Amino acid sequence: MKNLTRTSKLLLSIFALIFTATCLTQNSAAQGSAKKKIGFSVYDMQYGFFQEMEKGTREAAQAAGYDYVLVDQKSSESTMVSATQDLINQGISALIISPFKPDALGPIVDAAKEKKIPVVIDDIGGGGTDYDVIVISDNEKGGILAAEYIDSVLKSRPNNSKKVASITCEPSAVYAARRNAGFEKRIKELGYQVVATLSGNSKQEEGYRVAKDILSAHPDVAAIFSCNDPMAVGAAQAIADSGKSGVKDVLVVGFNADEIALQAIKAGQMGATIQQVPREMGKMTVDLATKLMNGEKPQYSKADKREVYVPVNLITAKEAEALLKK
Amino acid sequence: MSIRQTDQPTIPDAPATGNTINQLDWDLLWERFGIAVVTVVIWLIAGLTTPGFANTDNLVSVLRQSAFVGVSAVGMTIAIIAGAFDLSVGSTQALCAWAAVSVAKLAGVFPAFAVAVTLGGIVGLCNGFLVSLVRIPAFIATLGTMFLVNGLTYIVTNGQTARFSGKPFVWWGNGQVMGLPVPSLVFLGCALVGVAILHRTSFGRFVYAIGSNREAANVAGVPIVKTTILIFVVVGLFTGLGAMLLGARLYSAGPGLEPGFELNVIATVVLGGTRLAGGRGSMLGTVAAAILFATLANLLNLNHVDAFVQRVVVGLVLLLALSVEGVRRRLAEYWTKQAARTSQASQPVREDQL
Amino acid sequence: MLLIVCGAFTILSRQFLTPGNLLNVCTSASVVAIVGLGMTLAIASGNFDLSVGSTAAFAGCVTMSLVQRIGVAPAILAGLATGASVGLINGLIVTELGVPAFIATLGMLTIVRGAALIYTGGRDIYLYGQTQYKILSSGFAPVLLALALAFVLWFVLQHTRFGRHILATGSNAASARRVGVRTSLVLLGVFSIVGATAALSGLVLSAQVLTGNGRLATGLELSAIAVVVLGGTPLTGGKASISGTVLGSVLVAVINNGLNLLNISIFYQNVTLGLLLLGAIALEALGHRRTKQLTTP
Repeated sequence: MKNLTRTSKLLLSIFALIFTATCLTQNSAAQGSAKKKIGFSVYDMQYGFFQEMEKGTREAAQAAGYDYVLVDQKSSESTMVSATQDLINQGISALIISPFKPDALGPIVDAAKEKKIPVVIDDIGGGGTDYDVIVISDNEKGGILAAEYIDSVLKSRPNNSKKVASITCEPSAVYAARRNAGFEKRIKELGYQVVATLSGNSKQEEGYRVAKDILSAHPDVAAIFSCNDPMAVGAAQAIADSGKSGVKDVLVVGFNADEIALQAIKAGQMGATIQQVPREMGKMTVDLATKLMNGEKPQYSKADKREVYVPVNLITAKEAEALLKK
Repeated sequence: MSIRQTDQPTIPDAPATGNTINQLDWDLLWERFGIAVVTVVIWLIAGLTTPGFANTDNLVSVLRQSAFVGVSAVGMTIAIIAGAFDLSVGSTQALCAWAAVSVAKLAGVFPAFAVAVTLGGIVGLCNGFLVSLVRIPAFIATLGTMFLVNGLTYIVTNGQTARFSGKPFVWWGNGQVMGLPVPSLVFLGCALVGVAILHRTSFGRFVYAIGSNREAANVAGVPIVKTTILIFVVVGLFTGLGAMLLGARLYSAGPGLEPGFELNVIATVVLGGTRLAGGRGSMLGTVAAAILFATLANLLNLNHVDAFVQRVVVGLVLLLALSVEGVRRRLAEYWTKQAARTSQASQPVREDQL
Repeated sequence: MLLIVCGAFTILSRQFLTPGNLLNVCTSASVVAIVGLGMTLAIASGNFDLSVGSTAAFAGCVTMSLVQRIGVAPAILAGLATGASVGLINGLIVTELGVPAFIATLGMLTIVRGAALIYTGGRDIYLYGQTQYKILSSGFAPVLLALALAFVLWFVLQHTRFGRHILATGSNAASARRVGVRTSLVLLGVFSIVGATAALSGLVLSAQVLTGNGRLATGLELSAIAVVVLGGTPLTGGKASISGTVLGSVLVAVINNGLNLLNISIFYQNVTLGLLLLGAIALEALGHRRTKQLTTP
């Protein structure tokens, strides 16, 4: 099969020729265009939270007159790096990124810095890199809020077993894990016992299954805190299926303020959720990007870490109603 | 799936059997070079139609991205030629990448490389042992190892990601030599090594033998147990190397790194022309397929295709590429039937079903 | 093996043997069993279906979106039909286009997942208080569904020509064809059944959480294959163990449940699953000491 190996060599050389030819004839400069381009690299568009964030970012960018480009990391750090690299190579003037794995931000920030592109991080974490600014909601604080809310409700209940359970997100979501960490720490301080910490892998149907197991193991559990809303709603369903109430019998608190959770709260199926404001955060990042592109320094909440805080809010039934109307 | 002969005795000048001979050649040609040609063509078309594709930065990025799946795919090609495959490469990659990053932090680049590759080899050894000595089918054995290694990685790392941005280390994932990305050069090197292993060593001959017909190979005296173990070790070694490159690229690595990686690797190998039935394969195809997948992802992003639609497109491309052979065969059957009806010479009807 | 594990958990956790908990175990076992039963057929015929998770999600989305418009029963039928159609497409790709099942369903896995996401626009479809649909997942329904399905499939495999053709195709497709088995049609049927069972699983899951979204049931395919393998159906095809698959599902469900009851970290759950899989197969392999094919199916 000698001619076959020769043909492979031939093909390889054609390939190499094309590669060098294109390199020589094209330069790496971006297409000249009057409008500035903002690139947004998002964690995963499968989640309502990020859909909201993307909407806020897009609307703000378009309102400010920028060109807007989006890439989806699809919950993969490898895609995060390659897709964001695609953005950077397209000649964007500013990069907004909501990173799936902040630890892997290193190459991205370095590549952006090389091209003098300002980097604005939207939530999740900064990975200890040299970003320009990060807009961050306090996950730990959210967990603490949930703990305090649960305590305030359970205090007034006659047979408060003082037992709670905590459902965590998938193990690789280390920043979301802070919610549970904050929750468990605070609830223990308030005198409760955390009888179970189980992972629902961030999946709704697993939140259901895990909640059922928690109820089996500890029938007198008084409250369940879930790292995200899909799992919380799943847990609330499990409780309902066991003939109990997700508010009166086992208080369920979620995180995110996704639409399904708000509806569940309104319908009395679960107690509360911790709201992040992804849409506003998206808008904030665009404003910050504008400032940075104009060479101004943003106003930090915490200057040494270049953080801009976004408050998290407790959403109970009355707030849920109002939010849904919006 | 029937094994088709690559060396058909030349059918003597029967009239209008030009079809038959051509069919044979086309199949082989497509298998060996099809994807490479497709990749080149796509590059050409994309260069002309998609703005932003044909600039140095972008092409370098595409090549770079293809290397991480590619290095592991080199090992997997060898495995699939032998008729086995390894579902544990994803978990192995996570473990080795984490080890590489952690060790690089403590001891430098070369130890990191050594540790990553060795770990990969050890996992491969376990797989090989399970498959050849305990006699567990490769699919299940590596499925089990996948869960095991995954869990172990979480336990060992306590769920935390390791991070390290030392310049000499990350250069391996991010640097360039003469304009070409380092990982891609490593990838190319691995592919050449893979080809050498397959064609120049007795091990390579055994791999082909086992893949074509295991019973016959056994009877002919091929050391099946040793070869099988070695195959999985090879897969593990390449995976470990690729893992180090990935860790360098990302400046970090931790448990749960790239779920679904194993399916990507297998898809790359199969797309490249190596058939799951074993017995033959194309390393060039694997290289081209790896580049093709990276190119596809890149083009989808450059063309701002919606993320959900991207998933559909990627799956379609895979299916399309693999249907080519089937479609062509269908057409050929049809033409053959026509020719048989019109010409006098009777054509051998081949049993060329699945 | 099942008895040992159950025994262990009974000792370790007081709550294990309670009726409520046992029902939970059976329910979660049923969900995997339903799709596992379909997968048993696929594996017996010598193929795989890696797309069942995506099919389950897609069917769940379709049904949930239609419940309020056309009623519960028609919506359920629509969901099942969706699953069967996806399965049919899988089958066509394998038989007509000659793509190996592993790759064909791998491609379909991403395609169908994307389709589900596009169909729902990435949003969740949530139906509170939808008590009628809940029927699918409440009480003994999933268990009954799984057992009924098991019986039906067992009957098909043992006592119908179709079933015999499936097994024949699985053991040696070429010989089967030679004796007149229309393997293409058989495979189309098998894949459609797999698709339908995947859809049923998806419907039960979405009924549990009363939500349809594109992210449902990710990874279901691996669980399904795992329980089939645990149940003793050989990957090389030609034989099927329906009861094995059912027991396998129960075993996995028991382990997951038990580990949860004992509040054991998720890290260890994966390791346990891996060890379990390897251990069970090793036991069987060592016990039989037959020359098994080491290569891929």
